[in-house]
Amino acid sequence: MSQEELGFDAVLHRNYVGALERGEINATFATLLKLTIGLRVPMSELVEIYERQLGDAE
Amino acid sequence: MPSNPRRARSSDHVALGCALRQVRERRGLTQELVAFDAGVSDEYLGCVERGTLNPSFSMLLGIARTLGLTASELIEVYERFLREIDPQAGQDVPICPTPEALAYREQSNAKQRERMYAAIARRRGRIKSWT
Repeated sequence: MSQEELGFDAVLHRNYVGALERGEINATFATLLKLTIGLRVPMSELVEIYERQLGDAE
Repeated sequence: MPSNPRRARSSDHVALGCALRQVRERRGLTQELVAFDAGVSDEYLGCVERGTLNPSFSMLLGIARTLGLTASELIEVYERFLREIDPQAGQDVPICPTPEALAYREQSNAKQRERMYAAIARRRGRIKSWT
């Protein structure tokens, strides 16, 4: 799935999706909701992946 | 942070607020205490708990940490509340894009390609005219 496709499904601009992926934007709860719709995963799963990544980074 | 009446009280935000309030009350903590530890105003936390404010992810992380929860634990409580408030939640999300969505995406991609090709053609045209 490209940034553009995700942006399309999540109703976010592809530039915004790119900035989110690079960690340049502090997303709001509503934006996270849009992303879960675009990615078709429950929010708990998205947050778990975030926590795993955070664990790896530390 | 005053609540903005124009900001929709979506069932998601209400469920998130209910989750925060339930955990806070079960811990026997006051709004003031949690807000102070999380570095937000009482008003901000109150608005989040009522579902009238759209918090940022970093604020949510801070509040969850103050409540002694990991982010995923908090989100699990939120999802439980959401299912209570709105049993249909999540069920209307298509597992794969609907044919209409795919057709629309195809169409907008085609338009974008057309514009790109037109721009390239114009540039080529100019370059040709220079040589």
